Amino acid sequence: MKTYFWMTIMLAINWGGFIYLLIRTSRREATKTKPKP
Amino acid sequence: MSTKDQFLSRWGFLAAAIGMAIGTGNIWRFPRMAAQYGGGAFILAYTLALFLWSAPLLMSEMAIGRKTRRGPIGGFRDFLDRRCTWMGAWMATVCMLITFYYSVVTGYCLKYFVLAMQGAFKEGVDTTALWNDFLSKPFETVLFHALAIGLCGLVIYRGIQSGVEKVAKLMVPALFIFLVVAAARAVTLTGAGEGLRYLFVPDWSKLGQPATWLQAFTQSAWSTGAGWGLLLTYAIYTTKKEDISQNCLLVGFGDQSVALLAGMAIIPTIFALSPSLEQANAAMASGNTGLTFISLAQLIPKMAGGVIIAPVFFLALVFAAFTSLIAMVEVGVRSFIDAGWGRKKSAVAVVAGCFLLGLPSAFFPSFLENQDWVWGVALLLSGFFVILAVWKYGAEKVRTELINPSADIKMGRWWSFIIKFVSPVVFLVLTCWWFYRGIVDNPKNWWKPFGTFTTMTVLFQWAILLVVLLAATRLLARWVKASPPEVD
Repeated sequence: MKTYFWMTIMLAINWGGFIYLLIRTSRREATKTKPKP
Repeated sequence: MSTKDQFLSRWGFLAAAIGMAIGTGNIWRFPRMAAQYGGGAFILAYTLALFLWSAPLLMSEMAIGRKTRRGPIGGFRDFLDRRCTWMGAWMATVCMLITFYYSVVTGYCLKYFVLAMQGAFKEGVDTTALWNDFLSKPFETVLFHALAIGLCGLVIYRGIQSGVEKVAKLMVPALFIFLVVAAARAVTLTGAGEGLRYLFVPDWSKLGQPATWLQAFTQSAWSTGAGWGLLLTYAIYTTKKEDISQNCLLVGFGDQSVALLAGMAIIPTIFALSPSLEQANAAMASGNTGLTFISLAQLIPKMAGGVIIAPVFFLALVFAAFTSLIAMVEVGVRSFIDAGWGRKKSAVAVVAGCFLLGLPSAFFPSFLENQDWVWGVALLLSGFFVILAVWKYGAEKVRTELINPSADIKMGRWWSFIIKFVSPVVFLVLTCWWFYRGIVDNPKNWWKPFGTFTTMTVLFQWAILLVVLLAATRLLARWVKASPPEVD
């Protein structure tokens, strides 16, 4: 149980940070490529 | 600069930059360090190192490359002044000296992928003999070294869009997928829990030991490629609007995520399949190549599906090494392009040079180990030169004029504080500790300049390079063409 608790914490920090930045980047890129009305 | 010499998209640049950062060290060094230095406690220290050393350095490098549109040699000349050209030359030369033997290491990975495809790793095979047999045949090590640097040359020869970007877009996602497959298999093995415990549960007492912090910081410095001049070079091929801060954080977090994934693939495998806990610990202590080419090659075939996992694992290793090798060779190629050579001519010259100067490492594994020992730690000095460049230019100016205008995530004043005061302290502590350990751990032989792992061999080889570069700094400043190329 302890192992999985710490595994979740460590993965949340690192993978969480990576996935958050990926989503943020893809949103920014999407708004850039959106055609202006 | 032609538009073909620019990344086609932000994703292309990110794939290349993340591929640059992810190398063999993520796969064969990080898991060993994490298991040895307190599991989760090490991971936390490693994450802190990203913010205090690696990310600020990566951002600074990218700012220098994007502003000057030059590789490290011309970049330092134009960012500071002509008298500082030697610092950029140090950075580029150290990177090339690493490239010479890293190509040989990439060749090792290629050879083991071929062996895995041939089904050579069967239960009962003596992998120690297999490894020693391979190293004792210079024909094979040279052949695979030639293959690695030759393939890399082909990619560089085709240019940024058709070569580097295309390969990175293919290899980096594939590397993630391969490691996910290997990790998924490893964590479902009976007994994998013990390995996961070693990797993730923090041993807080280790945080009280200086070695844990120092290993975490050095691992982060070497793994992210901070101070190598690699991101500085890739930044040349980005637009003026490219987001420096978010891209660099993505590179750092991407690098750490792969390191954790590799840890989840390797440590549970070692602990689940080793006959005893002592043997598992011995495998973890057997060094980078020992762990990968001897222990894992022996253990993977023991698992159900090992026939598939072995090629998948070694192909992941090849991709990790290859995408880093491309970035390293590009540093050399860019230096020649800056001097007015064409890309194709530069690529041929640098690849031929890398092949020839990598031969001693291919023939003599002890020479390779010596070069890794000497130039691996020289990267800390390269990183310090980046810090000096930011100091001289003005940390606030770098932050407000070069990083923040195009940034989605703006850097606060804390960024300037870290690069001005914290990162130099990190450099001083790491370097002093490294030399102190080198003397204390080897009191009888540390002063020998021709030893493989002595402190004096490091100082001796550094001194030769520094003297040569200081003497040649005016020549190098003239060698790089005067006017930088215009980029939108």
